[in-house]
Amino acid sequence: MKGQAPITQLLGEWQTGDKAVMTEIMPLVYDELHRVARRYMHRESSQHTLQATALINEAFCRLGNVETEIRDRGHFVGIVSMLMRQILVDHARAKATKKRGGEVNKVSLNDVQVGTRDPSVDVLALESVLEVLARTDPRKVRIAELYYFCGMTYDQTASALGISTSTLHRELAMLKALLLQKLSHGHP
Amino acid sequence: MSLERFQDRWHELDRLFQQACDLPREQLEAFCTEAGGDDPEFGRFLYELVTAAEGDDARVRDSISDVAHDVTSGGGLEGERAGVWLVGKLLARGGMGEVYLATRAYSQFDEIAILKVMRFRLNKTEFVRHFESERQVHAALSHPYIPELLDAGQLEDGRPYLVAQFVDGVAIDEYCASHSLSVAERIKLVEHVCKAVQHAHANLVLHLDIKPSSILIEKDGIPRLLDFGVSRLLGQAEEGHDSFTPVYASPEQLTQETPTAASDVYAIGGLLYCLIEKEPPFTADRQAPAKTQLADREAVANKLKRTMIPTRADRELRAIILKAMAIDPAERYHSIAALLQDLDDYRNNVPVSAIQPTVAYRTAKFVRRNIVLLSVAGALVALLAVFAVRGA
Repeated sequence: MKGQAPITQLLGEWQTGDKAVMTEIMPLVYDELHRVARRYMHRESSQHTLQATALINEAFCRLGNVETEIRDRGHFVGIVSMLMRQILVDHARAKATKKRGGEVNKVSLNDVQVGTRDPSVDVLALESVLEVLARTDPRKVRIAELYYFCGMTYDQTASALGISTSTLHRELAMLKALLLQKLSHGHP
Repeated sequence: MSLERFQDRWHELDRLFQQACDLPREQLEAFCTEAGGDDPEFGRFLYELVTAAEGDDARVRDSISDVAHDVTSGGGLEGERAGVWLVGKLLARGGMGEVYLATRAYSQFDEIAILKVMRFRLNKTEFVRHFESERQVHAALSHPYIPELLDAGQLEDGRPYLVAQFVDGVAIDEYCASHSLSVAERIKLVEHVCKAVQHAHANLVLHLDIKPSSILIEKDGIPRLLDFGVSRLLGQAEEGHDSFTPVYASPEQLTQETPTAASDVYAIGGLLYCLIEKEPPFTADRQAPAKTQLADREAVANKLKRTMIPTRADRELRAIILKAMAIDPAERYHSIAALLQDLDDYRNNVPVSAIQPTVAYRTAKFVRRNIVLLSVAGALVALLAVFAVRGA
């Protein structure tokens, strides 16, 4: 990956309307994003290279619709992480709607899978917390996107937001408490 | 109780939370009650938050990562149609794709099948080329230990799927453990597996991904060998992409050479090792570079040669595993039949081909095989000697 200047410059040109620049930006930022997406595939990381790529492609497709001005690489990563959250929440919502729609499932074998925790229901619960936070404390939402939805480390999250790790530590404690409280008490 | 209710008091909540976190546990409840003031629910919410903060956020991460899996693998076929099949519950998700339960739509009787969706996409021509030939291959395989292939097709997004008979069983290693099978019983099961593989080889089909999890044992003890040809399909489809590495891949598969029947022999050696030693022969890290994995294979061979795993396998069994898992394919059993013969001989105390046929070895086997007969003969000889002495 090259230095930061060319990316920032390219991002600027892309923002001002030169869409062809995207083809130049892609390979530059791609590696970075690829790592980002892979991180939350942590549990079986080796097998999901292709899936991570697919996710990033989707993030890029949505990026074409972003109206905000992109300042620099950190900002860019922030926007992509926001998109990641959006993609995942949309997916979880679609899944929940389908279930409520009462799709008939002829297969009724119940002895094969144990544990009924539904990740999409969990993600929607997390999202409901973030929606309230967006009004009261937007910085915690950014932290959630970077740290949880993009699987960034402490240091990366702090530097993307330009805050100290001790500030992050305090913010994250509250954020984690809100999310866990929602999952264990406030679940619909 | 949710955050929404207290969003007007957000900054107060944030501040109190930081304070409460630093308090000794025994003071927490009183602090929260006081903080609540007129609104006891506010106090309780604060208390819940502080106690939640001590928890592990693994569930947050796992849920997010599960949904990410769903998005990226295009999962969530549940309730959808695939050809004439109605897709049911997701059973498993792995390197090759997803496995669902399925039933035939518009069918009078509830035939339950397994629907496997591959994770790669093919265009129509590629699909026809790969899958139609595969379907013919499967049609040729008719063996009681190999589940029948019922259908194959392609989803709208280009991903191919296979539909096979549903097998209600547990993986062979789990089955051996939960039924506390003896070594002989374990070997007998492996012999059954060998017979299924032998049948496939006779029909010019290699399995190339034999591993404990692809052998299910049904309640009546009948083994079923799953996923025939799937790895080959993956290998073809992913040329130039990240290549598919079977768990018990033979050295030649690791180095991308053309696999042969000897590669299946190697994997059965690994299976045998796993069932006898009760642990996999090597760490199945598909991500590790081929060089590291090859070194692992060599370490196993050396371990077997130096008799460093005498715990459960005796000298002969070790020799059988060593021969099946030889690094050089030419040093392995030349066919599944030969391996099968040795396993059978081992169980019956007949000399096995994996051990050099010395006179001492053959005599020892002869003695063990005929131990009762020889004891009687020995007693007779002794009696005769006694009589001979008396007579003198």
